[in-house]
Amino acid sequence: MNRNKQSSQKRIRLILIFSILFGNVSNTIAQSQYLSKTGHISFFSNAPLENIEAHNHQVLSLVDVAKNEISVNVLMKAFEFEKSLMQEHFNENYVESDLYPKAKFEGKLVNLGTIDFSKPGTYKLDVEGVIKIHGIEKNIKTKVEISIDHNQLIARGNFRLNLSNFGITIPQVVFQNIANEIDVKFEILHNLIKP
Amino acid sequence: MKRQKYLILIIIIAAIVAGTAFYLLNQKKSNCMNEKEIAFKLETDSLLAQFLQDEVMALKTYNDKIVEIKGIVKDKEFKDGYWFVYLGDSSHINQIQCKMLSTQNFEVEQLKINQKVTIRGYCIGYLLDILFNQAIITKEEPMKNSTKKCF
Repeated sequence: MNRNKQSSQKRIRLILIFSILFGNVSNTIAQSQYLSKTGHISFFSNAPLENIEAHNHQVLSLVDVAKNEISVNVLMKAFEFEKSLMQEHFNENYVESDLYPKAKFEGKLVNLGTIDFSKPGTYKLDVEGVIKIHGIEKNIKTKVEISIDHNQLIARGNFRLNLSNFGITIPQVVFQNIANEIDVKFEILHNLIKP
Repeated sequence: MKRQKYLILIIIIAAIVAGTAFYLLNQKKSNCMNEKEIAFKLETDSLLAQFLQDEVMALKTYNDKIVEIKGIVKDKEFKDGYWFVYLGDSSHINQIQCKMLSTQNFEVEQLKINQKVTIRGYCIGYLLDILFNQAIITKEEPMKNSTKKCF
């Protein structure tokens, strides 16, 4: 099980090592990958009694232009809340971070190949793939705004997640405090992996 | 009369309990990393080696613990209002990424690449790099070729 959890991370590591080692040989491959280790993902829960917001600024993301692929990995413990008790409950009672420390998304950026990466610009694309949270995988399709500027690629967007779809149950007693549907926002600034 | 006294006492106790509960539920995160107990003190190379050798075991040992780490500043970047300090050396692809507390902005601005530094923070896991957050600088050693003059 641990092997499965680490497989995507190992893949990213292998791609990175490959890019660095063979960058000069295969310039096309190296120039088509963008990496971020400090991407920002936040979520917002709007409930009758309380609004809850958490931010994660340590998101790992790799965009492979040649393959139209995006891979995003998140440590659940990197989500920071304003109140310590909220953070504790989130990790211990809801997402069970010790059992499921990572969330990930792997998908395709539809028509990414049509973007002219030599010019700065902003484009709206469809992204579809599989999101895995709390050990449960679900298909997801949403819009993503891609901005290209020199050697940077910024991916921005938002979507809604239904917590019960991921086996995260909100006890009746806190139904007024935590929404079952949460808004997720992301803004991930990637840098081109240079050969 | 006696009943009235009991009633007042119950009201006072209820008020104290409610006040304490409200305080605990709304307690904001403490930024006083300086006052928290350190679980481990070690060098960057040692921590990286342990994670590369056996990630599961290293996570069991260090995850969620306050770790004080000594190493060389490989890089630093400012993003979304936070400083990120990377400890490691250029020969390794893996490094330690420390998301610094915003109260540390001035101290991090002064840090130089290749400077030796000691950073304390929560080890929160491994994602290509070993991730630390709520980190603070506890000791910075001057650069060997530093031009800073002492008066």
